[in-house]
Amino acid sequence: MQVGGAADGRVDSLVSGPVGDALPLRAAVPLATALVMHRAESVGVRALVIKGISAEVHGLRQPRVSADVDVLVDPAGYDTLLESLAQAGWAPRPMYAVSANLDPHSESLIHAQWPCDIDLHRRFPGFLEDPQATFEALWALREHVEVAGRDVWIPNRAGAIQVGALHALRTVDAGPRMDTELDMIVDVIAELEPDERDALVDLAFQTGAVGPLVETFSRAGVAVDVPDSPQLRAWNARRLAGPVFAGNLVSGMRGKPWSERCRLWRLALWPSAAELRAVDPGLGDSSRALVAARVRRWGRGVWQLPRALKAAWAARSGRRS
Amino acid sequence: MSALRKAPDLAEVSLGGAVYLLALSRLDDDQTPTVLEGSAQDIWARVDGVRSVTEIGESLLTGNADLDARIRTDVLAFVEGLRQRGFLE
Repeated sequence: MQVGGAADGRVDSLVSGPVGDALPLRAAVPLATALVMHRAESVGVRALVIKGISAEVHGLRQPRVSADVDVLVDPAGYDTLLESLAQAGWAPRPMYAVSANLDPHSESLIHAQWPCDIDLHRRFPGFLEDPQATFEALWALREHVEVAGRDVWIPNRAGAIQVGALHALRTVDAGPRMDTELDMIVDVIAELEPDERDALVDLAFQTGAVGPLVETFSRAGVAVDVPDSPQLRAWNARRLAGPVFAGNLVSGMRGKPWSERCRLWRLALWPSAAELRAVDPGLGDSSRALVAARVRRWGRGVWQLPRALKAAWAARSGRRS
Repeated sequence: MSALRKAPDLAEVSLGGAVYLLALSRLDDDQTPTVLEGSAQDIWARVDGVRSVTEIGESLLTGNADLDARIRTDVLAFVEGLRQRGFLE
């Protein structure tokens, strides 16, 4: 066996430089998970790793390589963790001002030398209760799991079931993979012991997920009565609108005063040149490229808007799917 | 010689014959993982909190005097590099 040095250059070269572009996702995701949880702990912010490893540990999805790390953060400490991660080189992925004004539930953080994002959630769509109360309920039932040699916190099985199901239900056409994962979750719920089912439903009432999940529970043989609410109608409007920006816009405007709605429409229709270039760095400097980008954006909006409006109308009339 | 120990704030992933390391306590200065492959990974695998750097070097010797002298030197330099990057206590 030969060790490093001038003979093969391995030891010296490999230890002296970062891995850079060669960092595979299968290594990057667990390392980034450890990174964000260590930063959270070091600044005293509570956080739970959700989806990904959490779903796999609880048998809610087949193992697969994730493209990002999802973390649900104590809302009270969200900005502190965001700042701490910024010091470690993780910056929010550029987004349009209108998106930032629609109260986004998460921010995707990127780092030039990492192949994965860190999705930092201040709340999770479908948990209709107050985000702080929801976090407290999930945190109280947390478990730990080892990732990259580090202990990290994840929701317990009941919490992970709710996160997984809400993620799969976030739009009515989330795709076959999400359908498969939801089927798997339904099977898991159906096989829970009675006390586990009770605990699941109890947690769903605490987090406000019980409304969005009533049909999932029903498929698994768990009957729950849920009253209608404006939050539930908003959730249904969003998921009926599908995975499109116009859906976000229309559902995000619900309940806002007309002056605010006008401001949002203006931001949506006429993003600044700086915004367009930040979101799409390949645009270049030419005016023609900017005009083309605006036209494409309007085209997408025109295409998406009827569905978004129809979804909002359907949700208002109580339709769920 | 004292035993070599991995740093407490270390994230580590083994994947396909390589080890990816991240010193979590040094993220403000060093934000990307380091990969150890081949002989570097072999040395890392011997860091068990019991063996010293000398003992790890000895475990890699070949019986060829010239080569073994270089191995001892390289292992020392390598371990020092690991320490500077925050991977070892």
